[in-house]
Amino acid sequence: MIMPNIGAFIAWGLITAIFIPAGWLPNEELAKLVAPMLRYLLPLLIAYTSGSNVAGTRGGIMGTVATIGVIEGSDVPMFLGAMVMGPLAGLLIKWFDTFSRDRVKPGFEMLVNNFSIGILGMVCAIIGFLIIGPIMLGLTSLLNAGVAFVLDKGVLPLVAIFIEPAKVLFLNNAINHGILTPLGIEQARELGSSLLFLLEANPGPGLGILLAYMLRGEAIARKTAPASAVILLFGGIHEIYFPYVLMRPALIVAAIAGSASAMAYYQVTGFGLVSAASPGSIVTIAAMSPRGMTLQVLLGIVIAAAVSFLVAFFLVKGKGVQSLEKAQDEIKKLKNQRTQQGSIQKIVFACQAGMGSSAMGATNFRGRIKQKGITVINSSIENIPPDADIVVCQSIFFDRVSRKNPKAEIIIIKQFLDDPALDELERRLTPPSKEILTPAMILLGASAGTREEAIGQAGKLLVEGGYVEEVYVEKMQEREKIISTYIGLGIAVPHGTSGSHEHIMHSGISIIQYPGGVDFDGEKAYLVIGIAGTDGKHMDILTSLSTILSDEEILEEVKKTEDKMYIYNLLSKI
Amino acid sequence: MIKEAIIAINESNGLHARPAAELAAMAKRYKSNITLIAGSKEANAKSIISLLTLGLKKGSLINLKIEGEDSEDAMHEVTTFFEKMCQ
Repeated sequence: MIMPNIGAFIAWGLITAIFIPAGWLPNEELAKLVAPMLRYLLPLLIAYTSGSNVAGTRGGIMGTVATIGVIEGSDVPMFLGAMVMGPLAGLLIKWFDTFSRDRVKPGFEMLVNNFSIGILGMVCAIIGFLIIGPIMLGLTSLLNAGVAFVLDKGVLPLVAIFIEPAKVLFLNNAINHGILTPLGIEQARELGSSLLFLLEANPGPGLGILLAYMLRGEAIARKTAPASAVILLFGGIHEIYFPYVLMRPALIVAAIAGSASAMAYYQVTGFGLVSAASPGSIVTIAAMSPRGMTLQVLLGIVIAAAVSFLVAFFLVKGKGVQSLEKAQDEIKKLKNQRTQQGSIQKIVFACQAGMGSSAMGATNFRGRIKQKGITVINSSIENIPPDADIVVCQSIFFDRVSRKNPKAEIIIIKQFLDDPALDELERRLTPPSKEILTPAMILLGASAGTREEAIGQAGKLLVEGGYVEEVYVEKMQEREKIISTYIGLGIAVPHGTSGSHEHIMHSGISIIQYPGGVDFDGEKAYLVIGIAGTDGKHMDILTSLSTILSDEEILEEVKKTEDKMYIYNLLSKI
Repeated sequence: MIKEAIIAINESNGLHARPAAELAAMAKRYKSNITLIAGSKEANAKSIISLLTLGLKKGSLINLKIEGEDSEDAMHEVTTFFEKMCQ
């Protein structure tokens, strides 16, 4: 959720480093950009990205709406809030969408889609404003109290444990200007300099982390880290490295170690700054160093960077890190698998906005194919998921879709609800109808000790014939326990319970002849006919079977024949 | 004594194997002949397979004919069975 937004962080970092009063080219007007970008733009971007990671564009929008509540509910930059609210709100809309997918009538999709985000977004924003925002404020004061406490006890390096995490959560200004600077000014007045000015302003810990990314990070991070390091070191904009820590939170250990080492160095040597170095760049720190001490003070930055780099070096390429190359390999592998299978799993109906006509088309088509394992969704042209196997859209979008989803098959339609191309697609997806009975489904001269065994044999034939899933055999055994399926004249017709239609792929029967008979609840069955009938078909099969087999002469022949084809010819037309 | 009644099947799945088995088991407890007539087909209610040949679906009309000394009790129980099945 952080990575895609690093560009925005750099944009903000450049504006800040250049135009703030202490920057390279101070400009009061342009510096007005700094605050709203930090307060709104960056957290909202994070909220959008994290929400859309969970639930696509809709998740992103939800996450953004929810996060504005947290932002206004607090007066420190709400990065943590965005990282929490974004995904949560995304999850919420995802659940809602899954829940409502099959319950919305065609034509109402846009209404439901817009109002679901509208209403749920409103609720999330209010919760963020009233609950999450104040919680974040509480966290800030807790960290402040921690810093004050440790300073009071005089164990300076330990302050790093509070300062570094607080910095990364964008609370750096709150801590620096709220606590450290006032205390430092007091100290500097008495002693001429204070090391408190260096606690937060030291760019060393962040620099070490960026250096580690430059050497060992994943490709995108590796390429952006040098620019970020320049902004940090010379511009003094520490926020620029926070995202790199947030991407891999364990790196906070590196920052703490670097910061604590520098503090220990300053405490032992007694070096400090004459006044606050803000922003915390190598330039302002040098400028604020007591005369003749510049190099000694800057050495603290080097120490912090070195220690932080050493620790980060081992953390950056730890477990869970995926290099870009590796990720690309995996995607390639996945793609190969898909083309090998050649099966259609995801159909996407796409239109300009992804809300109106495409939603209607998807709902409608979903109803037409009730094929298991095929997902039918709708999306805007821009957001067609990369794993779409088939994209259905109008001809004007063909170019855009084929550029964005080169792997997908594109089906061009004129109308979303009723189009010959959709009929054709439906035919392709509907498995060809099968014969009710094939010679392979007939077994002569079999034997079974128990009725369960016989039902198992009849069920197994149906499974092997591709008529039913294996679960259906269990349903046949279950059904038998309710009341025997022995229907008289030495015939039993085991079949699944009434709720077991969903396990039937095609209607069909299997016929087993038991010359020795099988005990069915006190009756002897010589013919066991396994039946798998989809919805309306079941009764038809039962009726035809019993009508044909009621003829006693025919029945006798079926019970003792040694010719499969006799039975096949007799019953295959039912 | 002969008793007759006309009954409509209102169960969505029709008279499939389970209700047919239940009806046959019940019919067998009576001495009377119990016959179901639907269109041109006739079935002995004491035989499941015979009942199934009728292919009774929702909306089918049957003519129920019971003949014998306990026909009154049988009529009562069989009509109750269909009423219950239709619920």
